Amino acid sequence: MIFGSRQHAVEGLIASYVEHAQASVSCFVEGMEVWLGGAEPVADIVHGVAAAESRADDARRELCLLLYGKALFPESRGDILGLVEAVDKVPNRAEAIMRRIVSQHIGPPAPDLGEGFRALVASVEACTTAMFEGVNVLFKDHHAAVELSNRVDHLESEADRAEMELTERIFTSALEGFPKILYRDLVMDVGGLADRAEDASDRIRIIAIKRET
Amino acid sequence: MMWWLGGGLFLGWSIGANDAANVFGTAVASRVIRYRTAALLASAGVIAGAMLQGSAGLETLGAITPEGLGAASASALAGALAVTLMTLLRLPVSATQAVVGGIIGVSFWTGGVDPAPLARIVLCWIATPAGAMLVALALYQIYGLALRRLPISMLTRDRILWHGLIVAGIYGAYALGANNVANVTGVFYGRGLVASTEWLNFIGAAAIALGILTYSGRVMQTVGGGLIRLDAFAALVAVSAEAVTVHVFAVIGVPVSTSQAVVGGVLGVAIMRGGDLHAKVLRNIGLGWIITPILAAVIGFAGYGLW
Repeated sequence: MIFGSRQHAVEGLIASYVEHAQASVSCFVEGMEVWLGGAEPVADIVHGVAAAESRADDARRELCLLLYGKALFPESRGDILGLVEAVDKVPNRAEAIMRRIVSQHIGPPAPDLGEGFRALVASVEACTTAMFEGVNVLFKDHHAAVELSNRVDHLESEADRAEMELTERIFTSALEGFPKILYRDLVMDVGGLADRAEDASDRIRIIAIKRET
Repeated sequence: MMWWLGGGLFLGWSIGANDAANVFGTAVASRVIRYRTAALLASAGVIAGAMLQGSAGLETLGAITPEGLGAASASALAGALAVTLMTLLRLPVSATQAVVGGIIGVSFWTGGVDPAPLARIVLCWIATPAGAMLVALALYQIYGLALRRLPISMLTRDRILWHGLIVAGIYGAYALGANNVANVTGVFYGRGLVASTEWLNFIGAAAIALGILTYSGRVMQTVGGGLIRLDAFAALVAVSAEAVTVHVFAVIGVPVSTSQAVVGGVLGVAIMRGGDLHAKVLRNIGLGWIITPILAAVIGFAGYGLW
């Protein structure tokens, strides 16, 4: 296979992977809104998150097979495999959070805490979206990827702030001890999505900077 | 005729088997190009380089080679034996230095070597890694600037480097042929053994090409595997620097070592990246400089004396 066709095959699989991984996070955001609304069951949404995550996994596996088949330079193979592995932690975690809400029968919080959850989910969504954009940009103009990585850092800090504010609000609320711990754990899990996005973004930055020489 | 040329032809085969790795090793080891294709391109490049620009080096070596076919042949044979011995001992070796060492050894019996061209050759040996290092420093900046200015994806950057390694490999093979053909048949220049300089160039290039086609595969994997750890950009800079340097010396008319040139290129990259200059690599160049010509001179002296 000549380099050009390998390049297009790798780029196509990465674009497909990012699309499905991002769809999985979008389903997660939608699921959190449904959960916070409290009117509909969340179980159906979990299937949506899992299905998108599974499609992302398929694309990831296909990409790994292509790369293990010695497409591209060794250093690029390693970089791409490492990046995809880091990015994959985001949809995996999104799916795990939704499953946790369903399996542990965690009910929606009171409206004042609900607003805090919405703010946290919005921050996390912005952060992961910027990270996914960074992956796409890396495969279009790698010089621009560093700027996006800086934006992910900034958005992750905002998500951290939202996480801390919400945790504080949970522990100053009238909730009993056990629900407090349950919601705190959930907040940490949701906030962890931004941390994972930042980890993946750090890899994007390293890959781009390595290629500035 | 083949009897007289034997030592030189063996040396040519050895150059092809070993030195093609310096120009196409990275590309083959990273599967940029198949070994068979690389070997054919390298052979074509070597023959083209030797035929078009190989004569200057032939004249230089011819000028310091002692008179007489026997002495010329003994010089080449001493060089070839020194290369074989050094390779068996796994010591760094340069075919150029082996041939010149052989000439010096044989010249003890035939009235000595003309010091002026010899001094020029030795000076160029020192200048080879240093020159390649300077060329690498410049190319690192030029290539880096060009790649930084292009709004390209990381894979398109790889693609450019991919093609760059092939082009640099072909150019490197051309430079190898233009420069190193003198090691193979330079000692026979002006001795009337073959009809013309073109024939000397062709015979020498054919010997190198035979070495590439028959025995360079494993060396390419080994040397290329070592070089590729640098990454594709660094390998392109190192191979290009080696090709430019060896080509410049071909035009000047002094055969030099492609291995030492590629090491100079790697050192240039290391300097640009703030890496350490490995003492072992520098020691290997030093060993190659000192041991190879001395060993070849001893073999030439003893062999021709006994003969």
